[in-house]
Amino acid sequence: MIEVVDVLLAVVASSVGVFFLRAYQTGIGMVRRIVRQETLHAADVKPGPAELAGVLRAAGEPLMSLSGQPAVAIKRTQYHTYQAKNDSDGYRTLSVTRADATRVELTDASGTCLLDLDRVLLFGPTSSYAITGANCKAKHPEIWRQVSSEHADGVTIEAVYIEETIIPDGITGFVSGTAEASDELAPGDDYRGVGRRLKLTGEANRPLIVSAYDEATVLEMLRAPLKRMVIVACVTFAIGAAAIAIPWLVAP
Amino acid sequence: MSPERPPLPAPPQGLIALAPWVLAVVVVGIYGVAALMMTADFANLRALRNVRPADHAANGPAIYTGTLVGPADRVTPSGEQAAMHWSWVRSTDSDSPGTYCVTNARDQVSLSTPEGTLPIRWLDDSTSISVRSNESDDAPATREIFTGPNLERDIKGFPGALATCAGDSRASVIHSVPQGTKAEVISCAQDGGLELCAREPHGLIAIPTVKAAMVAKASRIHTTFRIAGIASLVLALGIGFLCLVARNRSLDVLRPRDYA
Repeated sequence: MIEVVDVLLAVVASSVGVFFLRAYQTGIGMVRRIVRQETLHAADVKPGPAELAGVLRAAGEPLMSLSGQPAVAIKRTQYHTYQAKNDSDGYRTLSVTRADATRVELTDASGTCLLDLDRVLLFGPTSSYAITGANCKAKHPEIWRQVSSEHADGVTIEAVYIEETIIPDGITGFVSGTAEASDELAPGDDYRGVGRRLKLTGEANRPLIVSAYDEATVLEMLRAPLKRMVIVACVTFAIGAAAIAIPWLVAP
Repeated sequence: MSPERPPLPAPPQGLIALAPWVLAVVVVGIYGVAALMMTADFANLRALRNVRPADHAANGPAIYTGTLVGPADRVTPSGEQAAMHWSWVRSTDSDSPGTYCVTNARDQVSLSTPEGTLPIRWLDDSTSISVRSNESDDAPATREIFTGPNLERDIKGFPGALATCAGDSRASVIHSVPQGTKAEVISCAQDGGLELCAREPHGLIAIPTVKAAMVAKASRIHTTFRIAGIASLVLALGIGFLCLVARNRSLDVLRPRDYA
């Protein structure tokens, strides 16, 4: 006594399950890449996929996080509430994510490798801040400039909410990316570039992973959201199966 | 007026981490509640599946096929002849639904079969009979009449005993089973008549067939689980979307703006 609506429910549930499985598949490639790749010493890196573990240090001036901790890279997701003049209602803006990075070098016992922090996936300690508009204006002028640039005059910014992930300067971390020749020469080499330095960089479909944690923690952080996709997919497949099985079970 | 303070941008990671498990538990719960609600119907349907026609059945419930015959002088409040009937006045005001002046005449009914006439004795105690006209009615009872929806109809005015409850925003409903209506009766034969059986299904008059009653019961179970399925799927979509947003945020590939 399976009816059209049951078939429809099963098809929709299965499609949703497949959708979430696809979301799982797109992330699991990165996990497999890290698992298969051996962690090398900086001196042994050759062009191609590479993983390194060592101290991440700013080659120049480090960035400053909201907590005042020096960092080599910062990812900030922020939104704010504001009130327009002659309007009793408050509004919130869409969240905006932006990242800043400085020049970074990874150093281990064997040597140093440059990191090109473009197309990067950051894993580091995350903090959340809720800053009043007045405080933001006084203490974080750059953020204030970004926020206030979205509005015309006559708008009062009530509060700014920020979630900040940082890669602290000097932390022992883990990176995974693709090694390629950089434009910089190794110290002591001439312009012919015989000893051009290698840098680790990211590509569109293989981002550079820069983590303030070790490899195992990065893998766990990558796997956790994927596991959730699998659970949701399994639940939706079960709903689809029930849509077909129950009419069959209760058929007179 | 100060704007409402929204929560922090990202839901706490712990909640997102638990969300799929909560989804799984809630979905199991939804189906569990549906199964609990339908336990009696499941048992009833299973019992009906096992009932065989009277000529093939051993002791216990059996299906007797024939036509329903009531007292020759039995008429409905609106004056039509019927083997049995029941009627009531219902409120037409959706704000204050109600049923008034319930009358019924379901005793002294027999099943006329090729082998002879079998009085349906359990109908004589007509106060505790569950009358079902479609799958949305109450859960199965010990004594049950399934008639299908087409024997129930509204009538004009408030004839006979229904006149006591006449009023504005009220209408009369009559459920009349004509003399000679084809029916299947599940009962236990005893002393030349049909008695309630000791085990399920105890007693059922199905018009026209037991199969139709089973289809209606299965449909009722089915509808409940269908609603459970749709609710679960909507929930799975919502929680899945939240998890997807969280996943996308955690796997957000960035291009630092200040890096040259």
